[in-house]
Amino acid sequence: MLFSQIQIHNFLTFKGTNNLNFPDPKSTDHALLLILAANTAGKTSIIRALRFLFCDDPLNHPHELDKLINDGAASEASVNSTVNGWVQVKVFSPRGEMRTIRRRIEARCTSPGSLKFKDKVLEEERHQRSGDSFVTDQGEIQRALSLMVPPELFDYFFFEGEELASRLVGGKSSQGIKEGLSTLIQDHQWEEAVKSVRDIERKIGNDLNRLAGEHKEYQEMLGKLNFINTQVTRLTEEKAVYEKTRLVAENVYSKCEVDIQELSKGKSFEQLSRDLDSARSGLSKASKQIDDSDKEIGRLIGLSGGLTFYADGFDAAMRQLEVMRKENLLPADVSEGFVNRILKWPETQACICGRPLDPTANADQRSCIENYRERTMAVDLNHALLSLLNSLEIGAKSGFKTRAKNSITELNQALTGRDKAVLAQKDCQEKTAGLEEQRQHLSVEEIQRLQKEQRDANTSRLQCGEKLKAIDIALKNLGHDRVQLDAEMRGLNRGGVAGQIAKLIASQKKAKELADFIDEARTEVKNAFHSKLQDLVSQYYDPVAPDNSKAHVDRASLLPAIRVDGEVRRNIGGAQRQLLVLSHIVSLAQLRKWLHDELAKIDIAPGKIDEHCFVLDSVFGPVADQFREKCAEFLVGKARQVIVLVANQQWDQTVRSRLEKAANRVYRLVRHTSNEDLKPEERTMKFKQREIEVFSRIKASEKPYTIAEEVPL
Amino acid sequence: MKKNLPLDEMLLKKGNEFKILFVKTMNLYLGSHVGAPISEKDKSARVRKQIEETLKKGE
Repeated sequence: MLFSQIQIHNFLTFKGTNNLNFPDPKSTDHALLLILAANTAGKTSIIRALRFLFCDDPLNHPHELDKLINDGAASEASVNSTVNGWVQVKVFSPRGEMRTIRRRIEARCTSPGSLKFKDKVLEEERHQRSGDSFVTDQGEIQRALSLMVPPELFDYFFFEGEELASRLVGGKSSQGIKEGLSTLIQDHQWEEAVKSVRDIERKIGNDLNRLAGEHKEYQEMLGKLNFINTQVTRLTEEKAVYEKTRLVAENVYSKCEVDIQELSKGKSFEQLSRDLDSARSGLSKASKQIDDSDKEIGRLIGLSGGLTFYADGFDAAMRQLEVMRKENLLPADVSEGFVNRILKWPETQACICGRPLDPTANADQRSCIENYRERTMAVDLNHALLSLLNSLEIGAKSGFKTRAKNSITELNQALTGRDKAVLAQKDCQEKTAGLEEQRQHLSVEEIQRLQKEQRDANTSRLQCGEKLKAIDIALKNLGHDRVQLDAEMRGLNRGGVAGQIAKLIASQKKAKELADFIDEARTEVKNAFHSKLQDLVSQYYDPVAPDNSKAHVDRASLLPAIRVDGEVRRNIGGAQRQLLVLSHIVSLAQLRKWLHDELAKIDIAPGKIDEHCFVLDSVFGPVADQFREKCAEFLVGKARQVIVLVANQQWDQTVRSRLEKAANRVYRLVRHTSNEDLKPEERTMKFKQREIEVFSRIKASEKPYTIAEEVPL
Repeated sequence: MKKNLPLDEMLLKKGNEFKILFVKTMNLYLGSHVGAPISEKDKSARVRKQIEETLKKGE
């Protein structure tokens, strides 16, 4: 709700008609209207006048409303004349149209200066063919006013410095404000909606019972149907249990299978036993092979005649014998003639080879022959040695060397065979030992237990299968019964009872779902609103907080506080409190509109709620000097319409420098008084280097009053 | 302004028919009565009747 004009006529301290005109909201996004006044001039009267208009507040004179009419006006009235005092606003309604509404007090002058209350009227100016005239309220105007300014939030929008700050932050008497804040999110309406829908749900339930009760036969069938439905539900639940049990049994069965296999490392006990037998058989076969090899070796040694043992000496013997043959010590022909020639030498004068030899000519040859004669052997020995040499000759088939070589080859073959058999024996021994160990460690008991468990699981699985089959049959039968019963009920339903009941059941279900949803949505709205409020207040307060404190918004009450080192504090004062409250006020004004925009997105149209006008009185009063500047800066450009009322003593250089430039329109409240004790500096206020009079002298016989006048920018 | 009202998403899961029912109900409560005093009698007599009728109609 934005003002176009506030008019105060003969009301409280104001005499005559006093207009406060606002800049057109279309021409400015942030209007600041500054009202300069002396301390006693009637700043607070403006807020009281607005309270009278919007909230129908008697302002402490419930039985003497005529007292609200200005004394001066009353004293100037002639006897029996009617005196009016009113507060009138021209506002842009939530629908965007301009409305002129006033609350008027009518009194009759009974004697000079004395009035008698006659009437109090809320009225609105209407355009009519006969001309504009005021029409008395039939309830709608008051509702419109309450819509513009919820009574609980009057103090919030029209802020009287210290008082509201202490109520908001200090928590004293904050209940009203708290309730007012909850109206912003329309919590009560949400709650009421939930309650109503639940009541409707109950009512439908009652209708349902009554309807069913009136139709006994139908009710019996309904009872049967309910019984069938109960049975179906029970069997369906049972089915789910059996299916679950069967699944568990199948899992146990599979797990046992895996565990048994794991325990026997992939082989069954029987397989392990078979492997062990096979290994043992291999072992005994290898042992037999070794025995056979030993026998063969013995036989071969026997057959070799021991040649193999001397084979190493054959080469040396052969070499020696060949030397002897070469030296003719082993003559091939040891004939008689040869022997005689040797024996008769030197008479024969021939060599042992038969060639003539001169005994005198060659002493060396003679000596050789003599030596040879000494070395010659007997015929038997020669024959034996020759025979030996022949037997040792390479290539001789029956020669010792060949025979020895053959024997060695055969022996080696036999030995290789034996070695293989030994290796096979060792391998089999190890294998046997390993398998024996495996079989020894194989937990037969565990396997037996697992096998039992597996058997049980299998039994359970099969039993569940049987049960499920039975349940399926039962469900099928029940389904059939239900169809039959439905048909019978339809037949009975001449008066549409079934249809009505079905409808009521559906409505009841829908009502429950709706109530649950509204409740859930209400929580979501509250949470989202709180979250955004916290963000906005932090955005305004945190950067200008004097002690690095952070804004905190209570989730339940939406009231502001501060947080210092994680601790929430409400007991704060001065600048902090004022800044916090201003941040809160500005944020909430924005959020109220946001909430309505968000609801409008889903087609809930609570009516157009515009940004609000705030009237701020004495905001600099409780603020220490160093924070006046921050407060003054804060007021500029945060809301669509702000009226700042400033008293003479708060209008210092700091505040002035900020607000003079930002103000779109300036008024002064001139106090007319006969008081002569005022100091010169109290009589004027500075504005843009000009001295503005805020007091005017009147005669002592006149009643003091106030006039609002615009100050040219 | 980080967070929006989650009602749209919540309603999406419920389907169009339910949304219409919800919106109609809440408009009866939030619509013309925002911030204005309205008697309990009015609500029970007028608003509840409308919701009940809506529910029974199956809208």
